[in-house]
Amino acid sequence: MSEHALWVPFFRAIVVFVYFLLVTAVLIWAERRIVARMQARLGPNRIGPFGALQTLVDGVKMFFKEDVTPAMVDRPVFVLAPLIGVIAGFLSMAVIPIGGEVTLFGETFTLVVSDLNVGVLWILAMGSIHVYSVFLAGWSSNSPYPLMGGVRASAQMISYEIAQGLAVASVVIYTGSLRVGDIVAAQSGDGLFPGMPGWNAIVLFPAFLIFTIGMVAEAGRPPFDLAEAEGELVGGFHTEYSGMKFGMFMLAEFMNVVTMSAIMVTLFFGGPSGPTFGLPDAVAWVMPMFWFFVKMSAFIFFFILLRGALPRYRYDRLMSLGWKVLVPVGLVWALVTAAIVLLEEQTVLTTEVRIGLGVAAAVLVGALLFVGAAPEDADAIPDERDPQDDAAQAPGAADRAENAEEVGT
Amino acid sequence: MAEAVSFWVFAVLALGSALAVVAMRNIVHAALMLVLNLLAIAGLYLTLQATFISIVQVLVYAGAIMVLFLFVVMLLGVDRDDTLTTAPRLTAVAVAGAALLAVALLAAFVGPYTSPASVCGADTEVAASSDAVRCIGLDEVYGEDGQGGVVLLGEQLFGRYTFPFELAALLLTVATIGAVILARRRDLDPEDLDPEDLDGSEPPPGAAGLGSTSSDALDLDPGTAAADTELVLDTAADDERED
Repeated sequence: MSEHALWVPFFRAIVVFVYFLLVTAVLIWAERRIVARMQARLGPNRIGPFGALQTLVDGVKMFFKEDVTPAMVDRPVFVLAPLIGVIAGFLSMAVIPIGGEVTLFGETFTLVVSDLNVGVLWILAMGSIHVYSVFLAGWSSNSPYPLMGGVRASAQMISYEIAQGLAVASVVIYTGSLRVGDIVAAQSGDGLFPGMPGWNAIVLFPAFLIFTIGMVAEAGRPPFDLAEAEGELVGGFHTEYSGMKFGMFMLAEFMNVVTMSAIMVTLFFGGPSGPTFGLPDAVAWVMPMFWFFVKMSAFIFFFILLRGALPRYRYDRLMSLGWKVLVPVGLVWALVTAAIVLLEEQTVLTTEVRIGLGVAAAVLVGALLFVGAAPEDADAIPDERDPQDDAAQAPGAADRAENAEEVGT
Repeated sequence: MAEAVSFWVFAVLALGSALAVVAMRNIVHAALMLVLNLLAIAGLYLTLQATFISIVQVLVYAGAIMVLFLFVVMLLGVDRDDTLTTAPRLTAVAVAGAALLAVALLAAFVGPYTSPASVCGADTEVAASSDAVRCIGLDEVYGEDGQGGVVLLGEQLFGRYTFPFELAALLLTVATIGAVILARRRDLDPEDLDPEDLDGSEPPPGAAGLGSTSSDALDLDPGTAAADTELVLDTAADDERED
């Protein structure tokens, strides 16, 4: 790193910062257009071509709106909370390579702010710092709905962080490195046979599934947007916020979508790697950026589709999905990955054996998923039954059931 | 140079926030200061070239444990007007304990590394010739690892220090089981149990029919239910002792 000229780190930081900011702006517009189309509306269509400059105008509007701070809030924490969200969002982008090697003014460097040797953990750490934003916003507002939103958000994020961490762990075990650059490089070759991409999403499919569900929950997006469920909690944690502070929460949320998509592409879809179609070197450096953008856009689109297509999840179902399905499956899969890696280290496995092992592991995890899902469906009936109701029907039956539960455990 | 600057910045930050933790009157503010303290210590680890430990510090302490702390504070609904006050006698005990800890740390760690016997920053010949306290950069210890000490730490943790590691795991398991038992004991509050059942009266016919079709575990007489639940708790406690 030290061999570069002094301007290189600054240049990389600025490029990555502006890149993600622009993608976020485009995302906000694209989301409004696509969701509008799914709901047979027009969406923003006045400012710029197809309303594309709407985000810019909204941003300006946010800055000049009155910033009301309610009298009873805990002022320092109230001001701090939105800042934490935006800062954590930007910081987690620091280890994501958005393109390949670029040569500029005689300096050759990769388009990443810093390829930290524990970059994967950095991403997770910033994700866990982001919890504070939502959480403190809820608490400092000194109002019931934000508090409930904050408590929900923190419980949800902590729960899904564990599942997500386990998915990332299996990627790390498989690659044998915590460096994001190594993980990208390990996926750039062919997969099991020539022509198939060596993406982790194929080899580590269960981890990919867990990460997909986890990233939606971490980003607090529909169908897991219980922290701000407007039908139940008014606006959740940001009910009391207005003006640019509210704007920062919005920015952080949308940025989270971009970051999560970028992380997904980096960890499971080979990052910026892709075919260059034999282009000359002068043009070929654009291709990694192109591939990265295409892959990331696909996941951003997936986020938007989810929002347009799915209703909000119920909170208790959300928790039981996280703890009773994703975490156990993630644990088993991390174990299976470790076993496969160990086998590969000890003996040289043939392609057929690898495919066989992969299929067996997938079947195992699938079976576990169904076994885990079955009892969950059984107690899908809400637990909050009215005790008086039960007593009226059959006195003692409720106690009997409770006692049976006690003995069962 | 950069090392010295970052050390002083993070050291002052860590000490200042640590003082603030005990000085703050609002429990959430105190907890936030503790978060700042943990982040500053992560910065100190970074100064020591221990990247892995540093990030794990942020991830585990600042990101998970402190969030749980705050979570509990919120769930208990501590009012923001509830200021924390401590009895003077406790303050005295705390000051004495802190002083004792400071002396112990100074004697055990700071002393050896600042005394004349230390060769930090001295010539390598001196370091090689004498059996003085040696200190080398962590990067040198890591060698070809290049992963911020992940490999080294893993080897030490699962090789030389396996036993303490497993003991720590056991300690956490015991604590968790204990917490679960304490949390479940609330189910046994007398007011939660139906007084009719405690009298040992006959169960209604509907309930009896339900019981007879179920397994043996379900076929409990409500009158003995309380005793049976206690039995379950006892066996759970026994299990814990066996662990």
